[in-house]
Amino acid sequence: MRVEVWRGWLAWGITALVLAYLVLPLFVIVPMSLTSGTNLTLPVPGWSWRWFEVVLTDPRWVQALGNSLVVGLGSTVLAVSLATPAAVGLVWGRFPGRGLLLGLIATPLVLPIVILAVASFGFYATVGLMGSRSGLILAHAGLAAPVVLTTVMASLQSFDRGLMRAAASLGASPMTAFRRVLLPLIAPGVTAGAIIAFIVSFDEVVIASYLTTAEQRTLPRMIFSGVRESISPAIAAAAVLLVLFSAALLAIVTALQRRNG
Amino acid sequence: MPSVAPASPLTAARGQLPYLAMVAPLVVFVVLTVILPVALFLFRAVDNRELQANLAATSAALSGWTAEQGLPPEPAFAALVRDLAAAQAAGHAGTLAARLNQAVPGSRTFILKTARLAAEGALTGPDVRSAVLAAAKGWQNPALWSVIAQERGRFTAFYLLTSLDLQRHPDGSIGAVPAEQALFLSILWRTIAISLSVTAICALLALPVAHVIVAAPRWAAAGLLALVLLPLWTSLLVRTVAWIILLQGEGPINSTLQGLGLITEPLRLVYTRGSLVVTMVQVLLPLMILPIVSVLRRIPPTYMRAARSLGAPWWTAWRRVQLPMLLPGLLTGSGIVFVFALGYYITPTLIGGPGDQMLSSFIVFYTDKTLNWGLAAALSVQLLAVLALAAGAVAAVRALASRRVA
Amino acid sequence: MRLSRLLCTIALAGAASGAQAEGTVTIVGWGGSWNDVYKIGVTDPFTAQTGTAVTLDEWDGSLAKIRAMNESGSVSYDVVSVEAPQLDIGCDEGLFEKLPEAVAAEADNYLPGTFHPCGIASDTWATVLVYDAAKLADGPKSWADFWDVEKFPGKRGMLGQAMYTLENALLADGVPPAEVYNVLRTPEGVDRAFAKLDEIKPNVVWWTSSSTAVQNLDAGEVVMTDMYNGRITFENENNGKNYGIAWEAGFFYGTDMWALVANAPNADAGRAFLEFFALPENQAGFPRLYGYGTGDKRVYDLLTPEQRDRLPTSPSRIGFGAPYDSAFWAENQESLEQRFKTWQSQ
Repeated sequence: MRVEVWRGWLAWGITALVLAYLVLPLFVIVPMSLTSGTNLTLPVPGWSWRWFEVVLTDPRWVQALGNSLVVGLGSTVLAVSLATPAAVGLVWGRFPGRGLLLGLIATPLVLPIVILAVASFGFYATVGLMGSRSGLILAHAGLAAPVVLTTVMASLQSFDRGLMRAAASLGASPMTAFRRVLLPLIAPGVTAGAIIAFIVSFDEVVIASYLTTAEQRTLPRMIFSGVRESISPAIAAAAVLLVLFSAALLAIVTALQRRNG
Repeated sequence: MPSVAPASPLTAARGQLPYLAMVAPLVVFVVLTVILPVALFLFRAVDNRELQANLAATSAALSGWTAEQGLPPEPAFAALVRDLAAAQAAGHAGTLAARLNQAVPGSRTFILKTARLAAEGALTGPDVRSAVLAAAKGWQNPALWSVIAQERGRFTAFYLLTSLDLQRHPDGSIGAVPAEQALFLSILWRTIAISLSVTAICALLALPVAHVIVAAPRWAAAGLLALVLLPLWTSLLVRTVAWIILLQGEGPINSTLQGLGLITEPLRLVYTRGSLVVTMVQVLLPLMILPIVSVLRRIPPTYMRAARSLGAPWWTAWRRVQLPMLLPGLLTGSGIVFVFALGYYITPTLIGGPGDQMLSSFIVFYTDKTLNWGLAAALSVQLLAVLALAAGAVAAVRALASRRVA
Repeated sequence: MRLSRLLCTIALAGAASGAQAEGTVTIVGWGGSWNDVYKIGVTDPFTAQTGTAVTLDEWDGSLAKIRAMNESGSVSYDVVSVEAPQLDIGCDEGLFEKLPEAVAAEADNYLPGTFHPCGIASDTWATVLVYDAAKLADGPKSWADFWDVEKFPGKRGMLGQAMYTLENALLADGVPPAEVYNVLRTPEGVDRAFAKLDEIKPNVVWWTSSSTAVQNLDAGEVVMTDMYNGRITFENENNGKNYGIAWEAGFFYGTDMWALVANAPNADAGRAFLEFFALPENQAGFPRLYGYGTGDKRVYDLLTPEQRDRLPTSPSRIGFGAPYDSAFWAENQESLEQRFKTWQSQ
């Protein structure tokens, strides 16, 4: 039995180390973003908000933040409005080839991002959508749609179709039943999907660097080029903002899923 | 909708139409914004439009000519001058010269010069061949003429061959490129090797963590899972930046080690294979832990206890009882991690050294720097082929394993 | 419901905006301090003189983007600063316009390599031999010294690519700068450069971003490195470093070129900018503030001795150097980089 206990402690020890390895590196950016110096060295010479001030007032960072929000919202709206009905059709429909369609829609999830980005670049350029935020919205929606589809399909699995039949037998038109019965019940799943879709777009950098010129530059794109040229604490500050924003959205998703499940 | 008689197939099909209509917009959207662009891009790997469209007369005049005959005859030169003049007038001379330069490096400048002279009408007269050779002696190279003679169709194997370190010789045979130019297979192996080692390390680290999470009381398991999920939802870019900060010469790890007096000079930690693997494992590990946890949860703990009570040592019990049952989760996780790792670009670019760049970086290099989109597409085909093979292998092993368990 | 309408409005407004105002020109440089200096030294004076508002953007020099803009017919840049080999390729493909006549007429006043039918130098820079003078009082004098690990023990920093590195290898092998490309144009010359690189390979720390390279030098991880001269001037003047540059070892200078993008939305204003920049007194606005030179030889008469002393292309320096051959690299970059990467990974 003593070996058993020892093995248990060893497993917990390894787990603690692995989790520390997973989580702790993220926190290094926090002191870096709050440094009063210009270098990314520890210990920091002093504390200050100056780099957050740079990111939140410098016109280029502000423009990038604005672009990220617009593109994120646009692609989320597009992905959700396409993927929600598609999820209903795929879960309730019994037509042949559903697996094939599902595979087709899921392609962007497994495609290496560089291939997707370079291909979109060539294609969007020929149709005149390169260097526009609309182009980036379309590309990000394609990336986010399968994610939304998955979450909505999951919430539909637990939906009782008898409710729709009951609504119909009470005289509700299919549209009314969809709006008044189905939508409210799967709303948490749709919202969760929407938020994840937003994060997908908000974090994406490779497609963004191919489809944008300086005017449509997004926040991750700014960070990426900054890291390649010279790392300044402003990048750490922008990264902290990115993490906080995603974490807040993720907390909402978790809360929604708990209520749903 | 209670119906006594079974619905006819036609009615059943019609009943499915609304569902199909709900799926259709998304399918059309994904086809238009993802599948079509990728297909058009991959087509560039075999597309021979530049040569076929711009050198049609020349390649026709070269029919029957082979490299052993020496320089091609006068009509071929006359056709070349006509073709180049037309290409110059249409503004295609630049792309045409770039395409030929890919096959015969160093030929770009004199081809452009010949095109310019051809368009000005300076290369006429009874002996066009001498005029062309006098203007640009690069046309004495039979390798260039072989390319024009061989690559006359709508499609070309040139880029795919290049991506496999192969070339077509003037006599039409296919062979390896000289050793000093043989780059792409080694990049492919490097990409596979990095992905495999990342996958293996992820598997090793994920197994104990998954066991602990499943065995933990409910509240603790939820907390541990949240810790696993947290990095998953942090931007890949941010996580890579964090590692650069940690590992750099003046970063916390080096300054701590120096502060403790363990080292005097900062260690070279960043921009190495090690830093790349450490970062990739951290980024991809959650994707290995989650599927293993979900499989492990479905295995009743009594199985292990039964095996132990029959006298099997822990290791034997785990290997014989638990491992076969969690294999599907391990395989799913490995498949996901391996496939994701194959396509990595941001992390190797930012945290790897020049010897750690993976296939994706080369796709970017040829797209951005040299505008060789054909080769970029061929390398993409290669990457997708490996990806498909890996996915197929995982599926096959899973099928095999489930048959054995059943 | 109101929220979703709001989202739609925002998304549509975002998609629709992007129209250009009247009387503006979009000029695209390399970003960072380069853009800051260009704004103070050149584009602000241009706006003051002509009334044309300048949007000073930045890019990564990817010719693919210009090609894609041109194919799509939605060009959003007017004048860009582009590396010379890329200008050469782009000019032949019709991606850039020929220079306005008034500018083209000045060709004879330009240094070798700084004038092209499609562009004039926006800046000239050099890859020079750099060492930390605080640690090496009697520093290297030649590229042969750079290769000599017995005389100067320690690692060397080198740019991890064929372009600029093969040239330095031949300099180390005793080829005078003016002869380097004649040698490199032969297969034996390329072999010779790689053979020379073989000698130093075990002692090299490759770099890709200049900040890494400077950091390596600062930390003493390398005792010398190749580096862009402007970066070194910047470190010495702003960060209190004492890096030495071995100008007499020989160097190659490179050129970024101002070029007008074909089908530019404000082509006339773009031409006006090129004509403005072609006048020496306007061109001098840049090298007065920065460690990079420009193309017109007359500019150097307008600078102070201290300003001239930072520049690779000033009269006292240029004798040690030669221009990078952009035509050579335009047609050999792909195959030589392929060979270099193969060599590197062996």
